[in-house]
Amino acid sequence: MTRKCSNPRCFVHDGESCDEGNINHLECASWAAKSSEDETSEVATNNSSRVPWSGSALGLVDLTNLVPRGRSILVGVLGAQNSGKTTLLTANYLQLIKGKKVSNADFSGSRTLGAWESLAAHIRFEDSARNPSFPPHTPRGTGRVPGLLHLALRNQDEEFRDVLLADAPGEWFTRWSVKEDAPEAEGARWVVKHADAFIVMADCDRLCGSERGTTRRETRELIERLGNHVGSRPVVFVWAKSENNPPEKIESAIRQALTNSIPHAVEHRTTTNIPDTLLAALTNTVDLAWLPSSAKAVTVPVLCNQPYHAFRGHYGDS
Amino acid sequence: METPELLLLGGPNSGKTHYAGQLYGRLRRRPGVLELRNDQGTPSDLSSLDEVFNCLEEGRAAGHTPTDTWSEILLPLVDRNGRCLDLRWPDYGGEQLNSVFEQREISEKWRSRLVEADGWMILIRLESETTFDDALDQLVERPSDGSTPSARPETWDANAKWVELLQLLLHVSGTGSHKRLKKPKLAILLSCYDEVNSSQGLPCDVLGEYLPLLSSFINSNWSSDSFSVWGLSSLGVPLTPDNSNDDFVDEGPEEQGWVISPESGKQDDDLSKPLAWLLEV
Repeated sequence: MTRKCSNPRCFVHDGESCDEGNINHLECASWAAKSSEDETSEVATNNSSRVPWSGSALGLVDLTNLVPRGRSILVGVLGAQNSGKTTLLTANYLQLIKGKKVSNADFSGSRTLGAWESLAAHIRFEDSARNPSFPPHTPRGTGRVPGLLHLALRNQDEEFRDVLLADAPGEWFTRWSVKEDAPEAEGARWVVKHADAFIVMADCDRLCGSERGTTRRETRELIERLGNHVGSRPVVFVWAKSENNPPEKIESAIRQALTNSIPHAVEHRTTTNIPDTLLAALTNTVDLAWLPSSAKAVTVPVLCNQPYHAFRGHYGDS
Repeated sequence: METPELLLLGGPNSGKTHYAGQLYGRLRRRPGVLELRNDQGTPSDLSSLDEVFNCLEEGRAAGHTPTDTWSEILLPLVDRNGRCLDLRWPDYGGEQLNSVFEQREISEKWRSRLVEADGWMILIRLESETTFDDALDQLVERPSDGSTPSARPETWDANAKWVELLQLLLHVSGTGSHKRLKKPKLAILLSCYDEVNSSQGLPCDVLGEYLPLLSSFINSNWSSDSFSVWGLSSLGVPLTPDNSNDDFVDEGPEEQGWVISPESGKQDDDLSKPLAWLLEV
C-alpha cells in the first residue's frame, strides 16, 4: 500500500488498524480526504481486521492509544555508547521468557514483541558452531524520541502497569551531558523530562581500560547533569560488566559524584555471567516507580476559631 | 435450544483433525458427559471427517487438512441433565492461524466468530514448538568473539508467537486486558500429550515448564476459573500414515485416547470433558 491516510496518527498503510476504528479503512473519512502523498487507485476492498501496533518499538503516536488504559511507568535507560543498555533490556526479556518475574509481577503482554524478538535473536543461534553475540549498537538516528520497548505487568494485588523502557543511543546522552541544549540531544531531553525512573549505566570494562580517565569524565558529567533534573524521581545506578573491577580511586570518584548530585540513587552491580543481577536492577527500578510518590495533603489554614468562620474558609475575615 | 459458539485454535499438525474424529467417535459410540442426541440422529454432513474416520478405523494416522479448508460439522449434543446444545465444530487447515500471525490481519469470518465465541479452545503440541530457552546460558558459557554474524534465527520463540497471536485475537474481538478476563473462557489442550516428557504433574505446570511466558500471560490475564489446561492424547499412541495399529482395528478407535484433567492430573477416557468444561455442562 503506497498511499497514506490524511490522519498523521494513522498507520493503516503499515498494516496497522484504522486510527478511527473503521474495520474497512476505505470507509474512513480521513482516508477519503485528500492526502499529500501520492494518489494511486485502490486495488481491492479489504474487510479484514487489524491491530494498532506493529510489534516494533513504540513511538509517541503509539503511546496515545496505549497509555490511556491505565497507569504506566516510563523508565529512561541512560549511559554512554556501548555501556550495556540494550544488553540489560534484552537479558531481562530473555529472563521473562524463561519464566522469571520482573518486580514479582506476572508478564501480561507486550506491544513490542517484534522488537524484543529481534534483539533476542542476536543472542540466540541455531548453529552450534557459531558464537552468540551481544545486541548491536542502537543506531543514532535523528529521531526526537527514542524507540520505547513495552511490557505489561500485573502483580499479586491485581495492580496493572504498562512499563515503557526508553532504549536511546548512548551518543544522545554523551552529547547532552556536555551541552544540555544541543540539537542532537533532543531525544535525551525528552527522556529526562518524561521518565518516571532512571537507570544510569557505568561501563566497568572501560573504567578499567586505557580510556578509564575519559570514561570517568563522561560518567561523572552524566550523573551531574541528571542531578540537575531528576528531583525526587528514583534512580538506579548500575555498575555494568561488573566482572571487571575498576581501580578503587576511579570508583570512589564516581561514587562521590553520585552522592553529591543524586543522593537517593540505589547502586547495583550487573554482569551477564549472572543474569539475575540484570533482572534485579530492572526490578528495583520498576519497584521504586510502581507507586508514584503521594501528593502532599492540602491544609486549609484556620484563620479564626469560630465555627461559622471556619466554614467560610479563608474568606472568613472579609 | 442453546447454540453455543466455540473457536478452535491450532496451528498445522497440532492434532485438530484427529481430535475431531476421536471426539465424534466418543459422542456417538461411547458417550460420557456429552452425547449426540438420538432424535436428531447422525449429523447430516460428515464428509469433512470421512478421511479421518477411515484412517483411524484402520489404525493409521490421517493426512494433513488442506490449507484453505474451512468446514463445520453441526453436532446436536445433549448433556446428562437433558440440556440440548447445537454446536458447530470447525475444521480448517492450521496454516490459516499462522497466516493470521504473519499477516497481522484477521478476516471478517474469523472476527465475527471471535466476537461471538463463548469459549476458545487452543491446541498446542508442545514437542513441536520452537523455543530458545538457553540463549543467556550460552552467552555466558561461550563468550562473544566480538563479531556480528549475519545469519540469525528468524523464527520467533514460541512463547512470543503464542502471546502475540492471543493479543491479536483478543484485540480484534474487542477484549481489553486491563481487567482480568472472564470471557472468552479458555481451554488449552496440550495435544499429543503421550510424547511429552516432563516431571511435572499437572498439565498447567507442564505448560509452565515448556512455555513459561505464555503460561504467565494466561495466568495474568484470565481469571482463574475462566481458563483450564488439559493434557490430550486423541490417539493414546503415535500412529503413522502407512502402518496399521491392531488395537485400533480390533477394538475400534473409540476405545483409544485420553485426556489429563486440569485439577487431579488423572487420566480420563472421556474426550468430551474439555468441551463440556468450556460449555459449562
